[in-house]
Amino acid sequence: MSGIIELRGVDYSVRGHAVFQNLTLSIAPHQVNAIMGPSGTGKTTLLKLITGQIHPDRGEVWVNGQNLRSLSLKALYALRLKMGYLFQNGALLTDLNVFENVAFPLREHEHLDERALVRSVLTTLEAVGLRGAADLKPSELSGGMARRVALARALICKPMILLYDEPFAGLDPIALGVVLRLIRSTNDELKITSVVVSHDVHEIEKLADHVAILADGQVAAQGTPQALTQSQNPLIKQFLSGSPDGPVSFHYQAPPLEQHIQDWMAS
Amino acid sequence: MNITLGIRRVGQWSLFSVALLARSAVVLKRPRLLIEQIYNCGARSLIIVMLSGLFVGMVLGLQGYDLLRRFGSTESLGTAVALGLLRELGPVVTALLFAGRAGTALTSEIGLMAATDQLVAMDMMAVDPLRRVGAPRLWGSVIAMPLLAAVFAVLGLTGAHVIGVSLMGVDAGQFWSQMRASVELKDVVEGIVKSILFGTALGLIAVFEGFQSEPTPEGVGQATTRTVVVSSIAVLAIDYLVTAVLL
Repeated sequence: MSGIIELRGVDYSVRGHAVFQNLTLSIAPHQVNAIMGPSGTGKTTLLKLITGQIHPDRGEVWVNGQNLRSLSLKALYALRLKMGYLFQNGALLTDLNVFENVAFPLREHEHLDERALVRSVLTTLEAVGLRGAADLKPSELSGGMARRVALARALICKPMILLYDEPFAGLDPIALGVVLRLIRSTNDELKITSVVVSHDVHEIEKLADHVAILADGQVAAQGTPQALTQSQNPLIKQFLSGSPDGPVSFHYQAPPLEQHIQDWMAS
Repeated sequence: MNITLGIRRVGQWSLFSVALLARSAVVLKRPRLLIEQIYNCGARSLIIVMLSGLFVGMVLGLQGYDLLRRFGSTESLGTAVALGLLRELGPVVTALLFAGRAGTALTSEIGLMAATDQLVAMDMMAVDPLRRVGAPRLWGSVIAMPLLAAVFAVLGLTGAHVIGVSLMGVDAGQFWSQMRASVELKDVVEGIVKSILFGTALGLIAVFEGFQSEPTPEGVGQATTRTVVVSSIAVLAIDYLVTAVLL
């Protein structure tokens, strides 16, 4: 295995409910890697494992050749400086304007003189097309703009890895196109590794070099988007076609209706 | 069950406080962060503290005058009001107002930062939220509290002077000279010690509740309420302990 991110035999459970069981996944460098799966399959949990916010119950997570569990907080922070994490809502600091949000990591970690800092921030904002929005507050931005500012904030630290949590959720078609293009161009021009967590099948088909589909706590299928669309696996077919019928049930696990009513009344 | 939960929470608070204090060096390295928080906690609480101080002083003037008149010693009004304000009412009432004005603001601000992923985002950028967000707010509170208590005492004395001297006719010379003769340095020190301890306790409670709050609207609301309740009880309990030790 030679992935820049590797999960080896990972078990993880939340309050007795197993999210991952013996999950093994290797993410190749310099590609756009998509992690897909129905809601509730632990896609965001996977990102938390990769960034060391949580640790697996069993198994190991390796990033850039380092076992996350063995790292001190200082070493983990050094590694995180090489990783950019984009939250679904952007998670911009609401008391700072766009410029200061993008400048935030530089002010915290590097002691640049003000002129170099301004140049760096405005150039990075230019790359996401928002130099003109530098003095806006996060509350004045649309969802797509907030995500682009968050991307600029992640890029300013020159990361090796960019992790996107549901980057397409709730975007209008134009913003969607912009974000898709930015993810692709950022990945190719800066030679970084992108991990995109999403359940938007069509966007991922256009964007990703490699797709892994999660189901039942494991990787159910992986390969190029084209290979997956040819797959005869019923679960993959159901997921890619968006059909309510198939191995993934419409109903959340529950007892038969009559028994449920009786149990409910009895409690 | 509730008792174990309570004990566990006190334990969590203690560990949190140690972690927060251990990260305090940041306020020396980056004084700007501290100054912002002294402004947020202190300057923004100024109006409410000044108004309350003035009214409390005016009430003390009226009550004190009525009481002292029965013993024929209204000229001691200045001393009575000054001792009451410096040793007790200044620090305690300011701390209670501070819990309601600045403590709630701290808790809800940090709670909402958590609810909107801002704290995790900092953590992801290798910025320790306890150091960047928590420590400056704690020390802002520690520094702002004694300053506010002093302002409260000054406005209180002014209020008492207006009522006692201008309205009730106590001799102004007597009012001030008796006060200067009877109030000692240790009375002032008692007030300063109390207000620094209150500021520390309030800061630790408000920041803890903010970091611990559930990242939901109800969670932030409950945490804010807990800040006021726990802070108020803590202030009165600390007040008793310190008074018992210093008297």
